[in-house]
Amino acid sequence: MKRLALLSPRQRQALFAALLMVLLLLPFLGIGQANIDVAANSCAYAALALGLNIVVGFTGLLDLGYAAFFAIGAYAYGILNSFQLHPHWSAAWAPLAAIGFVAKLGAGAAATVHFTFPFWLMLPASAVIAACFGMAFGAPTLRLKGDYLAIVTLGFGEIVPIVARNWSSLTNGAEGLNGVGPPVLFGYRFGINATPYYYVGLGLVLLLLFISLRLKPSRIGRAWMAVREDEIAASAMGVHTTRLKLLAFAMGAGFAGMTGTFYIAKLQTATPDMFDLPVSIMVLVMIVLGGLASVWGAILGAVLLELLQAWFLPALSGWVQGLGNAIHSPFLQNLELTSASELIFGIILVTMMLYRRDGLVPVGRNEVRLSYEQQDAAVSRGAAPAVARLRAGLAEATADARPAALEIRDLTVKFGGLTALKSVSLDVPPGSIVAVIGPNGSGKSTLFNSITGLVKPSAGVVRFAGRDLLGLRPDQVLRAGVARTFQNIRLFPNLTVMENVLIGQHTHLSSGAAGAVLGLPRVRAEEREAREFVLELLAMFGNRLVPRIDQGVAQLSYANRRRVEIARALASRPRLLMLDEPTAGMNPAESLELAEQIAAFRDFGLTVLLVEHKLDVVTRLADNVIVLDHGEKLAEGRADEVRRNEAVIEAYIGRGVVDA
Amino acid sequence: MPEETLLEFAGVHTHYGDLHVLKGVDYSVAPDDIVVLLGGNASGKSTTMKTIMGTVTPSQGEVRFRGAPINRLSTSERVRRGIAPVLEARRLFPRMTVYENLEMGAYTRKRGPKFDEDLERVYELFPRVKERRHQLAGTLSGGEQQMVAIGRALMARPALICMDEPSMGLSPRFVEIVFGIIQTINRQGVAIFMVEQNAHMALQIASRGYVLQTGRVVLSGPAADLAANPAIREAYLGELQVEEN
Repeated sequence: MKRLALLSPRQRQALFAALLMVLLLLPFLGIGQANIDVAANSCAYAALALGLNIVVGFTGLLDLGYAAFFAIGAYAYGILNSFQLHPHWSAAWAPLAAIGFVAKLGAGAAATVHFTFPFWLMLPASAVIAACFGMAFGAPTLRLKGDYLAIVTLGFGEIVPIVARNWSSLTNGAEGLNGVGPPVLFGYRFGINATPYYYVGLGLVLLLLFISLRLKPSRIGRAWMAVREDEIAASAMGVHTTRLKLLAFAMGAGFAGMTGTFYIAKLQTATPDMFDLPVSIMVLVMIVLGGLASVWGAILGAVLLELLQAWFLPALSGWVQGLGNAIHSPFLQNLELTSASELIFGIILVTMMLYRRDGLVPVGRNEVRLSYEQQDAAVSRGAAPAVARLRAGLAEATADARPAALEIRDLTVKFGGLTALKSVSLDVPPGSIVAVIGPNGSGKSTLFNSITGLVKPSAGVVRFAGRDLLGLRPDQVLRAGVARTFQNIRLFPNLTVMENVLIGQHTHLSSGAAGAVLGLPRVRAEEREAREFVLELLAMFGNRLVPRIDQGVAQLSYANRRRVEIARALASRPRLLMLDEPTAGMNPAESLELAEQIAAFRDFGLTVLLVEHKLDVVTRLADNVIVLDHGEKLAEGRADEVRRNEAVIEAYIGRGVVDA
Repeated sequence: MPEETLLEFAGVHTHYGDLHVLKGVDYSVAPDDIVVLLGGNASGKSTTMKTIMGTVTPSQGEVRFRGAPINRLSTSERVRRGIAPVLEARRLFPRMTVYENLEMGAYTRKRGPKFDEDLERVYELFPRVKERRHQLAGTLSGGEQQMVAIGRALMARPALICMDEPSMGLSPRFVEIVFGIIQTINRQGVAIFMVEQNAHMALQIASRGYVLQTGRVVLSGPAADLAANPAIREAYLGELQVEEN
């Protein structure tokens, strides 16, 4: 698999074309109907796996009830193309009959309606219906995280088959729908021959594969992964997380709905037990086996599990029984491994988790090997040239490039009985740097969190550029021009430097899911520009980040992670930059280098609010210093004044040197 | 009695896959030492810490503790033998109380009068920790968390404490407090091996130091010599102290 990644794009295309040729010719290779049927089922599973991969792999929402949407798509078609519903005929049905969606059975008063909605219409319609259910299930539950969400999805995964089992008038209960009509294409009525279904299934997989591959590196795909990696950071970078989670849920449900229609049309029957929990689990196993978030992995996992069930286990059973006959062992003679398929899945899963946790096709991160010079970045002084280029880029991008002021009045924040901030007022004049210092636990981070919408203050006013920020969601605060970094660094750990900084541009890009899938020229141009802007931003840090641009950020040093976080915040083209301990983890020389860069941001019109413990950095940068202690403003003034203030020395700076 | 060595690295190399991190380093830490490891980012400081604690195994060379090779020992076995970590960013158990965190520090030892003795010692060093002992560790301020982290390490009754950036994210006053406590602990007979970006403060309390650059020790010696070395002043201390203009 690793070698596959080394192929050039052209070689990969050739490989894909060859594979596709084999798949297209498969029914003519004399493999027999049964095997073509297996291949068609593999297609159905691959399509399901691709859909669940969007929900679980891309967006990180553990969905244990995915088969519910498979069921909804299946029943949607099954009910609308079978004899299950047969209302009395009336003239109102005539228009539908004229376009072939229903037929009249019988004559006179006893005439009934036979639903014959065409397969080709129902394929997209089921996707839409399932997607609507996805949104309906998702809307109230997506607020939940991790384990809680998984439990809720488990719930609706159970509910749907139970409803199907009990709503007999609609679904014919446990007996299931019978006589579901097969697809008809240009007068050719699909029968029981597996070949045409195989081609439909292959087409379905190709379509969903194409959509997945196009979405993954798009603005939407990145935002999904950002939600998966760190939801708070994603919202602080302008991602409307609820909307994106709903989109992922709906998209995944849509894939499942389409597949349900295909699967039911092929079987021409639908029973509730086809959609029980084991199906959801099996699809989950497929994508874990293939490698979470890996599009090709999802397909490979699905195909392998289906083949295991359909070919390998019966064959293995045959061999074992043959061996039993040869050595006269009644136990081996009667061993039926196909009935132990779940046991064998279990063994495979445990083995995978032990030895290849990332799946068969892991989502690769380039391990870039750097030369000695690249590894040993020199401390650079004077970020001026890079920052000047950046200024041009920012001025172009920001509609209103004039510096703006932050105004905070009587801000009070309470956590239960604890008052974290008590009536704090402060001003950050346009184009200035204001530093907030104070002991650990004095409320500095709470101040940052209440400005950026992560914490709800109980009283006070936060106004930026004349606009009230209180009550806005974090992503709305970002859109208002306020970007931040976090005290403990909240990057998206499994994404690359490039991807992290691209997500910073989320609100400045406009392409949606449809544009990305269609590959519109506008979307491509936008993406290209966004990538160029990332390069410009990173150039600011000399050769510290540029050589590592395709590395996962988890591999970076602590200081470099801080730099990426600053670049990500700048990528949103903010007018107010809020930095929470930007030089933590940097040595004095590196701190100074960063301080110069921050000073340069101010010089081109950014307003900066800074939390920092290193007093040298504060003294060098800040136009004004505010000291917090126990949630209250203890002092305010120029850095040198504050450093001499007795109360500040007592609470924060400390008196002596360590006794040596 | 000759000066014995508590912890020793002899020609240690480490690899992460293809990436060669430590390229044949030698360190030695005596039982009464405070040793500080300086170095730029990606120089191998964190890898050194991981190698001491056993989360990274050397591909070549030997790590010895009290003269015995410990390359193959698990982290818990190392703790049992007397090496306790204070991890980067503290890594407390946030949803356990301070007291429970301290209890976890003594996990490798039998419960008994010695446990209470150690607990008293920690409370004595950190009255603040005693006040907060029933609070969840995750609700403490950064400085208090650092105290609990050091206290937790002490509960293992170690001969050596390894600290990864003890001053990170702390206010200047807390930085002083923490460094003062490190000195106190050291005087009570615990060796300290620490990685620290605040080279200025660290060299003041350290007995010896090593400077690491892309996986190699490029300088070592008594802390006072390092603090006076112009190259060190330039790279790690220098520029902020030199008055400009």
